Amino acid sequence: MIEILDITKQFGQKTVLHSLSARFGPGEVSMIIGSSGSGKSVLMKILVGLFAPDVGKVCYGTSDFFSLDIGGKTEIRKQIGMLFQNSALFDSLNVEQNVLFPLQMFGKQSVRQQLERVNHCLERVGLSGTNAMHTSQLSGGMRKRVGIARAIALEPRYLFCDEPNSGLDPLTSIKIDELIREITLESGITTIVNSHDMNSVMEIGNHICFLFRGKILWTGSKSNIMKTDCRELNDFVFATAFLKQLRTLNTD
Amino acid sequence: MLLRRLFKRPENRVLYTRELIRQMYTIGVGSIGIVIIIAVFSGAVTTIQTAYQLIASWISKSVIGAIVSDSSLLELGPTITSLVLAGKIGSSIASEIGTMRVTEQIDALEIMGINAPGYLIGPKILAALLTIPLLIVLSIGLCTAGGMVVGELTGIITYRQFVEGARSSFQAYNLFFSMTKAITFSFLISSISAYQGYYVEGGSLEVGKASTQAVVYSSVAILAADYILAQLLL
Repeated sequence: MIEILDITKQFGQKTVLHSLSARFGPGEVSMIIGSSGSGKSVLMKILVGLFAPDVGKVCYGTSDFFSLDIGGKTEIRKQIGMLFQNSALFDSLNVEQNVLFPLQMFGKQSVRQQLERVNHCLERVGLSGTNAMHTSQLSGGMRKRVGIARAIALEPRYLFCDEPNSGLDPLTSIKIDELIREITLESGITTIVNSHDMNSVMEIGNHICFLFRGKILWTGSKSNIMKTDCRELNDFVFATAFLKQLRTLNTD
Repeated sequence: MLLRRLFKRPENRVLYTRELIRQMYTIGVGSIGIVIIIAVFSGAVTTIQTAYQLIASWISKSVIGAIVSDSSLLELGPTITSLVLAGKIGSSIASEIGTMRVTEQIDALEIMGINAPGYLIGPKILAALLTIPLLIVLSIGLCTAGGMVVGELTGIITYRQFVEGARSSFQAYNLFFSMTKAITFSFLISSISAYQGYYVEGGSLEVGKASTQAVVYSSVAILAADYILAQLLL
């Protein structure tokens, strides 16, 4: 479980996050949604320890991440997997080497076991046989899958996904969403997804936090997001012409 | 701050060593061609220009050998080679690290719990410290040889006269001075370029700017260090 308590973050005079508190449980996909500039990415960077909050705590289980020493932080980080918006695959390495990298750096298995784990992860994301491919030869969807394979290589307890559907076609997006949900359920990990894609929210969002101008305005599940009377959330959810029409039809 | 993070214990010595060897190959072997060209031509031109300026008949021709070999050892080998390497290696280091920064690859390393400066910058600085002095030794040798061959081919000075002059002026201290410069310049090129790349913010345009800045700042630092070392050690 991950818990944030009273997180505030400022850049210069501008307060980007205002006293945020939330709890993200294991075995479910928690989604942080909000429009561009709402503070989602900053919150995600604080959650994974890239930015330190000015005020507040980020607790992994019972450990307050930012009060730990470097060794303690490294131990927590070994339990974190992250899928980046642009996948952040290492350009100088091929698919197999990318997935193998965290295993080689921290794993204690033999080389054969590490390669077996790589093949298992690649198979899990539907990319068996792509081991020798260079990252420049991969499509956007394949890059995301390799990113997921690398993120789960060390069997993390926490999985973070930053805009996992950006730049993908709707069908590939759905496949990536399904993969994230399946991996979360299989391993009972705590997954936090940062997104503004409503399809994704409706597909996998067990627990949703709506961020607006650096504040959590609404929390709930996908089943009650459509019925909310939070005006800002409604504006966000029904932003597209298609959804506006659908809403009008439902109201009628 | 950044340099201090380089000295943390590596998470995995094998991977760090592998990265060091890769960097040594890129920086060292990858720069041999340009070093050969620069060194040979510098030596050749120095011989011709020295002969042009020494018009007095009472000056022994072996003086040309002494001037060319000393110039190669003290300035042409270490400084000119380092300035060229600042362009080649400096831009390469800054753009490689800068691209990793803007594509979030450095964030990925940090989230994995890897000391990113230690893994990315440490092997580059160490590889530069190990290979650039060797390139400079090669450069000094080729610069002197280039001057000697051109002297013989153009009839300015014979091999024998050239070697006689070079031997008479050689001082072991000059070699020490030259190697001190080589090590200092290696550190400046690699650390300044890595710093420029590591702190890039933005996109590909900023990576290009960082790469240019790395070359400019490294070159200025080399020239400043060259003056300071000459003042202190000669």
